[in-house]
Amino acid sequence: MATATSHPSKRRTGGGEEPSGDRADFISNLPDAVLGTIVSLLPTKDGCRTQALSRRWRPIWRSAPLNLEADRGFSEKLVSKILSGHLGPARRISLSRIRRLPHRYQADDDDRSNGWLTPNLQELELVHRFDCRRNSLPPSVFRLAPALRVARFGLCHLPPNLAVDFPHLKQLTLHMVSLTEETLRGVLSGSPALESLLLDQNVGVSSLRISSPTLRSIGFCALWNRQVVDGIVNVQEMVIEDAPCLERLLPLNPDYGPATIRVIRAPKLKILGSLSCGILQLQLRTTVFMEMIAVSLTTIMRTVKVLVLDNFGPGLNAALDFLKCFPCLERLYVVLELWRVRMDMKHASLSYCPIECLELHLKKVALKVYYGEGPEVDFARFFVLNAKVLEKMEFGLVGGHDDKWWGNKYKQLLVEYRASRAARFEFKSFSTSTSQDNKERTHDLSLADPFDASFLDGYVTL
Amino acid sequence: MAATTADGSKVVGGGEKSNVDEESKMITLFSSDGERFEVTQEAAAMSQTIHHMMEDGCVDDEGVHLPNVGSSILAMVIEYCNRHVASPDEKEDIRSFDAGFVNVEHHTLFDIIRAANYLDVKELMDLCCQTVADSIKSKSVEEIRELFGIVNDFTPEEEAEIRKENQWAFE
Repeated sequence: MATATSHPSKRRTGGGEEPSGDRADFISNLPDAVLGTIVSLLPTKDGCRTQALSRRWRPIWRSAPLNLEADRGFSEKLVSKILSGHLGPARRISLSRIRRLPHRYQADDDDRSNGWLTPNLQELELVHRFDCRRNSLPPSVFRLAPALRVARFGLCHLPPNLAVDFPHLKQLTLHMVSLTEETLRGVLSGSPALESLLLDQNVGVSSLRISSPTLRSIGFCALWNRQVVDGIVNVQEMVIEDAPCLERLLPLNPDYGPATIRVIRAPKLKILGSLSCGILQLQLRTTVFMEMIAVSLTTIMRTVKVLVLDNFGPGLNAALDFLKCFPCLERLYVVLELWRVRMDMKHASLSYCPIECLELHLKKVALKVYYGEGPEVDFARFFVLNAKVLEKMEFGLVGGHDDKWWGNKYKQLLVEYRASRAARFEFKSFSTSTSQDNKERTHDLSLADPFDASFLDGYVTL
Repeated sequence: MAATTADGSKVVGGGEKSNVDEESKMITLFSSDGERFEVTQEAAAMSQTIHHMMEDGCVDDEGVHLPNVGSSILAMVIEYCNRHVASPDEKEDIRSFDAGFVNVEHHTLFDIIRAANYLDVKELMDLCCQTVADSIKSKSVEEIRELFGIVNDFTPEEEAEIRKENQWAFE
C-alpha cells in the first residue's frame, strides 16, 4: 500500500506519560504489514514485548508471522500457549531440546488440525534433547509445510518410508538423526530445490549416497563419540554419485570419518576441505589418495579452486600431488600436523615438471599453527620460492614473542628470493578460541571462499 | 511473451506489440516532485511493480510516474538497484555497500521502506526491515520507545495487564 512519503512531525499526548521530547514517532506510521514484517524478524521474547509499546503496536505481534525460537527457557506448556494464543501464521519455528513434542504436534498423520504447520512456515527446526532412536517426528512435518525454505531436524529417527514433500526447501540440516539409505534418497528426491545439506553425525546408515540435480554444497561428518553403542551403524562412506551443481564438498571433522569419500560425478566442484588422514581413502573418479598420499593421479579436476588440508603430516611431496590433481587451485589452507613426526621433507624436484598450479594459479596460502621450526619452515619456504603468482601468504602462530623473534621467522622464509614479487606475507597471532562454524561454511553460499576469513578466525594480525 | 536478455535489452516475441524501443535499455522514472531519473531496464526490473508494468506494456514513451516516491528517496532506491544489478557475484562488496546504505537516520530509513514497499523491491525491503529489527533487538520497552519516539498511550492498568499476560517475555 502506498502512503505519503513526507509528513509533518507529530506530537501526541497519551494517558500517563509525557511526549518523548523532540523525537517524533515516524515508525508507528508505517503500515501494519510492514510493522508485522519487522516484528516477525525479532527473537520471540522481543517480538512479544512490542505489544507493550503503545496501542498501535499492541495487535501487531499476535497477527504477524510468528518467529518462535524456543530454547532452554521455554517449557512445552509455554510453547503450546504461545502457539495457541497467536493468531497469525508461523514464519519460523525453532524448538530445541525437546523432550516430547507439545501435545498439539502429536496429531496423527490424517489429522488436519496441524495448525502450526501453516502454509507460510519458512523455517523449521525441531531438535530433541536426548538420544535419537526413540524420538520421531509426525510425518505431517515432511508433507504439510510447502513454503519451507530452511529446515533442521535433530536427535530423532526418520523411517525408511518417509514421504517428503518440500518443493522450496533450500537448506537442510540433519543432526544426529538415525536414518537409512532409503530415507536419505527420499529426502533428496522430495527436496527438488535443495542447495545446501549438512549431515552432522547421523547414524543408521554406513554409506551416504548423494544424487541431487540442484545441490551446491554439502557438509558432513560421522559420529564423534566413538563409544560403541549396541547396534549403532556409523557412517563409513560418503559417495557423491551425481551432483552436477555441487561446488562445495566439506568433510567437517575428517579425523572422525567417514573413512571413505568417493566422488563419482561432480563436474563443478570448487571447494574441497578439510581433508585429513582420517580419510583413509579419497577417490576422485579414478584418482585415489590413501591417507592423503596419492596412489593414482589419473583424474585431474580443473574446477577445484580452494583446498583445505587438515593435520597435515605427510609433507611436501604429498601436498604437491594434491596440487597436481587440482592444477587450477587458487587457495591452499594447511593445518600443520600437531606432532610433526611424519613430515617427509625430501625435496621435490620441479626442474623437469613444473606444476601448473604454482606457475599460473595459486594466489593464497595460509598455514597454521606455524612454529617456524623444523620441516615446516622448508614447507613454507617452498611456496615462497616457487609460487609465481602468489599474492598473499598468511601464518597463524601462537605465543608472545619479541620483535627479534618475529624478525628471525620472517628472514627464514627467504622472502627476498620470492617467486612472486607482488606477494605479501602476514603473521597473525592466536588471540582467542572461536568455535568452528560448520553451518555457515555449508549453508552460506554467498561467500565465494568460506575459508577466506574464517580459517584464521581468532588470530590477530601483528 | 517478452523477455529481457542478459544485457538488459528487451526482446519481443513474434506478433507482440512493445511500447518500449527494442534498442533502448533505459527507462525514465518520475518522482512525485517531478524529477526525472534514467535507469536501465534491468535495474528498474528489481521493482516488481515496475517490472509488471513493463511486462503488461503499461510503460509509455514518457516513462513511469511514481506519485508516491519523492526524488531524494527515489534516488537512493535507484542507487541500491543499480549497485545490485551491477555485480551480483561480488557478495562481500555488496555486503559493505548495504551496511553503508542503511546507515541513515531512522526517518529516512522508514521512507525507504515505504518506497521499497510501494515499488516492491524485495531485497531492499528485507534489508531495511532487518536493520530496523536489529536496532530493536535486546532493548527494553522503554528503550525502544525512547529510540523511536513512541508515545505510551496505555493506562498504567492496561500496561500492567499486558506485562502480566506475557510475563514469560518480560523476564
